[in-house]
Amino acid sequence: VSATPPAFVHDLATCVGCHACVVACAVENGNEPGGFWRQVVTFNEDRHPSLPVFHLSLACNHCLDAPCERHCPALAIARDPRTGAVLIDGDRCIGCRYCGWVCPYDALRFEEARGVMGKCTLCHHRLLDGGTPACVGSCPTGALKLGALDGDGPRDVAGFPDLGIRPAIRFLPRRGRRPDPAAEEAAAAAGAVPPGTWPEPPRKVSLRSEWALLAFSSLVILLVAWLASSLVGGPRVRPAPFLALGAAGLASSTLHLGRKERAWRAALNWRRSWLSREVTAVPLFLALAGGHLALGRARAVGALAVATGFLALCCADRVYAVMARERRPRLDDAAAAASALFLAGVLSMQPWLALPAGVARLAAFVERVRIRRAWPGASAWALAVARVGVGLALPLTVVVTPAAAGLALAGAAAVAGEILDRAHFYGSLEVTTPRIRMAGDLAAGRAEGAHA
Amino acid sequence: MTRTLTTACPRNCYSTCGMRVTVEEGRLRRIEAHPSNRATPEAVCLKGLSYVERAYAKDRVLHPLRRTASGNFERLTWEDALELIAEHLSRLRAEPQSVLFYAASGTKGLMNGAAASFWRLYGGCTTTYGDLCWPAGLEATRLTLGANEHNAPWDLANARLAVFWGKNAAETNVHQMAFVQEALDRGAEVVVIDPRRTETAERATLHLRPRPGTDGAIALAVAHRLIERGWVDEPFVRAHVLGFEAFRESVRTRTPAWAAEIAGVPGGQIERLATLLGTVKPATINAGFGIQRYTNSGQALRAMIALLALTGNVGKPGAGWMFANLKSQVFHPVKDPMAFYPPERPDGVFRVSISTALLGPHMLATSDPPLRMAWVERGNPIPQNPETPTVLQAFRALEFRVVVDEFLTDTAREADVVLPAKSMFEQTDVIGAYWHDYLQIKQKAIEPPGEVKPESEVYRLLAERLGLPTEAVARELPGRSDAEVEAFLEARLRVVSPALTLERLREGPVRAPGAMDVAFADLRFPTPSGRIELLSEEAARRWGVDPLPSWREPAEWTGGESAKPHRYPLHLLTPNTKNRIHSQFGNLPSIRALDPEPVVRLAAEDARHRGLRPGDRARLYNDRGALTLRVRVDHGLRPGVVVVHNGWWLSEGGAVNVLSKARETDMGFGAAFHENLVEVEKA
Repeated sequence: VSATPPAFVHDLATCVGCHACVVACAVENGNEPGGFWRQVVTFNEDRHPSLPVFHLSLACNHCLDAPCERHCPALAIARDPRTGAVLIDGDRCIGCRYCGWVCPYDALRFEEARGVMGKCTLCHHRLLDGGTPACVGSCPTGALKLGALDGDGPRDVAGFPDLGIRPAIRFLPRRGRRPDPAAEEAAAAAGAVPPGTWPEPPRKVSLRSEWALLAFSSLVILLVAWLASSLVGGPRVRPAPFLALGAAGLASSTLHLGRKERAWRAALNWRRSWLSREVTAVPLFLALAGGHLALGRARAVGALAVATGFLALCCADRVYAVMARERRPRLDDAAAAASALFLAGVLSMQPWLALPAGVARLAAFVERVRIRRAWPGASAWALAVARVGVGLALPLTVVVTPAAAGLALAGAAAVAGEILDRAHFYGSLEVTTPRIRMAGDLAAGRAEGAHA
Repeated sequence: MTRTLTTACPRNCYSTCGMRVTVEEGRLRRIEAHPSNRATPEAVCLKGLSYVERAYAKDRVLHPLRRTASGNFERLTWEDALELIAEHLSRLRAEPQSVLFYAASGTKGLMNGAAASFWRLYGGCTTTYGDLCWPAGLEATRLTLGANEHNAPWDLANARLAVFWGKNAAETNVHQMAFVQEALDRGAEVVVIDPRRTETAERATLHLRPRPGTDGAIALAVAHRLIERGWVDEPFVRAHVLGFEAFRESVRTRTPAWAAEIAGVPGGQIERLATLLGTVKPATINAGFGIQRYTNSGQALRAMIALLALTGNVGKPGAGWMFANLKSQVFHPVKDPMAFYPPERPDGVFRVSISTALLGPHMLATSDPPLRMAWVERGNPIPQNPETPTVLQAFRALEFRVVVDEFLTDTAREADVVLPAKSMFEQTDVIGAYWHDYLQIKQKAIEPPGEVKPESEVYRLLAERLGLPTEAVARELPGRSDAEVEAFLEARLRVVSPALTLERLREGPVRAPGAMDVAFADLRFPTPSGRIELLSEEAARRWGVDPLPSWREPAEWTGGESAKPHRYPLHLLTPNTKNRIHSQFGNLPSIRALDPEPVVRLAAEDARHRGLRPGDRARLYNDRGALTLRVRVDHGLRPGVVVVHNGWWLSEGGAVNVLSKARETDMGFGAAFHENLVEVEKA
């Protein structure tokens, strides 16, 4: 079932950024203030002379190839066969927020009251009654309509690149204004757009919001590394703490869910969602590890458990990498698996494993710092010293100059370093939004056709 | 049960939208545009949509309140509230003019007339003259054209040249932008004159960013150029314009270079404006309200109207002067700005002695009798009138204050008793407009929540408690039932036109009697001479200004008692935003989510010179007061101009009138509070 939704046709000439569409949507659909389903994103809000000012009125675009639908682990998002609207089933949604991360248009909102995600429904209820969406019916200048997706107009405007997922929205170009010689002169004379604006476009994720995921992923990395190292001469896996940490990891994985009682649903979309695959592989790893311990540490079962564990970590890495459709691959796209490899090398005091993995970890850190620059709330130097000096150099030194007394220190330092690095990973995670993308386009002086 | 009713927005706004409100089970569900209002057919604005939130807002005043010694408010029964107010009114009845009645533009409607009826029965009171909003422009228009009328809103689509002089329609009259785009799509040119690069300016083919207060100089220079280049419509001027020769002489030295120096815009831009006005027809000039809140602005607007007179752009489709259209003000005499003036012969009942522009100083200076009590409704004068600290001082100097409001505004917080005001959905009324010419019904759609009572009912109850003559009360004040309210309205509609009934208005907006798409189409001007008066003896006689349009420096520049231009080099502009109507709407959670805190906008070079970066806290000050606000850098703003949006409350730290000066405009008893020089420093 895949009815094609009608497309939003948004006229960049007549839209004056009045926000009536936003409030109309909020009133019709009972949005909480601050949780508006629709947003108006303004290009060049600070009015730099070199660039025009215009607005995009955006909500869910009911993409024909919708990432939210594809990646929802709980199979809670589906296209309605009657209207073509992509809809969230509030009885199935587990409130994991992942759809909000994979949507490049920032269309999804976590609704605190219900613990599930919400977004534009294309005013499905009104369409079925023969009406139009509230936003479309509430535009004082007639700038937002419903129409056919095919037609003229820029495919690609600042903040809204064509990412190949076929959003059901089309823009009509700015038009009608005759050139203003003075403005053109000023535009030519103006330098680059200066950096720094206030308020900055809000970021969707932060370390503060993702601490439960940090705890979960750090524990899984640690447990996979511990089990793997134990198979190649590292410290023996002691069942009580291992399984206790495993249980803690599983528990922490549910902490960020809006509807914890539905956590089991997260495994349902194993056919298409890396998140479902991760969610399936982690308990399997813990079960196999338990079997390994119960069966007198049978090596074959242990190896299978380690393989499953790395599979889970690779899935976890894919969970983050699928958001990166607008950039080249990075070393961080394998961050969790590499982290476990490095820890396994240090814990087992195996230079052949620790050294190359450590170099890869260093490279990933350097790459991340270069791209993201800022470390939220702490000095970059302290971070670099802790990450590289304590987390990498110290354990590697111990590994290449073996001293039995150093093992505990090296292991602790490496674990601390990897947790710190994981925190940095989450703290600098890029979940891009039209607002963030628009700021980038502004800095680059691009208004239209920027992403062709 | 679901009902859909015709209604209209009673706020002080150009658009005055026709609305359809859907009520489900006695509760407002949604607001939509009424399609038969041709000026606002597509949709209402974000504020209109937010009424669903406003009517049920958590912070709405739903019961009478009394301020306690600690400054908090406690609930009062109506019985106790009326008793308390009646005690004070009885005590002061020997000197009724010691009571100030102050009402502003918060809610329009015919039912507001109940107030004046009550105070007359009470024996009188002291009231204000003038107005904060628009009098200089109304008077300039009246003196020049004879009446405040203009072409229908949709006629702007016929213009080939649309000049927006200090008007940012995209924010303050969003529905006009549909007609602007229609004109643009037909090949029109748009000119914007505004120190800010506004959303409207984004559509302009010519954008002048003058120093505030210099619009008159620009207009005179454009006139000079039109005459010099022979772009005057001579047959039109000969037949319909008074004083052309004298005006031509007076602008002989008013060259583009002269104005460029004063206004700080390139002379070439002034010449280009003249070329457009001289060669592109028909042309409409849309003048905003902000530009006429200066001590030289009535004269400036007279000069702007002169440009249309010179080029024959009057009385034709797509042409003319759009300032205010009072065609639909049929019930009370706003039709003529003179209704705002003190009566030539006082009636002994109302002491019309307080200038709205000088509210604080005049209240404090009033004697014989001095003011002892104030009744405020439909207004929030403490943050909204010039010189907020003086207004506050004047209110605090009173013995007793009653404020009627939907919310605990800055003014309500100063009251001894706050009475809950009705929302626009809780009593039927009829309203006019000032951009389009529709008469519209504002229907009762829901029962008032809590213990809210419409003001007309409160007056009736007070009148009974004060023992005012029963017969007169029954005659003058509307009754309490819906049927009595409707009968009261019907009686007043009948006077205007027999065809005008509530039943007809329930179907949709009705154009006022005599409404027409093109104003002054018959080229008859109700001025003393019957012509467009560039030369106005009345202007000179009544206001002591030059009988011809002229320009002089604003008082604030020349260093009045508190202005020190050398110490305060920045012009503060306090424009309205789409998010509020003056101080209304900003408290609603939805609006707050869109516009969370007041900011000061500075041009990049002004910020740089003061070491200010985006997001810094800056102190904005002059001798009158100070505000501390976050900085936004606006690269489109004219250097030397800073902007803080109007309407933030004192309690939000953004009340702009702590910085303004109580001062009157050159004509019309308006408030010249946009002449406001400040300095900014890092906080």
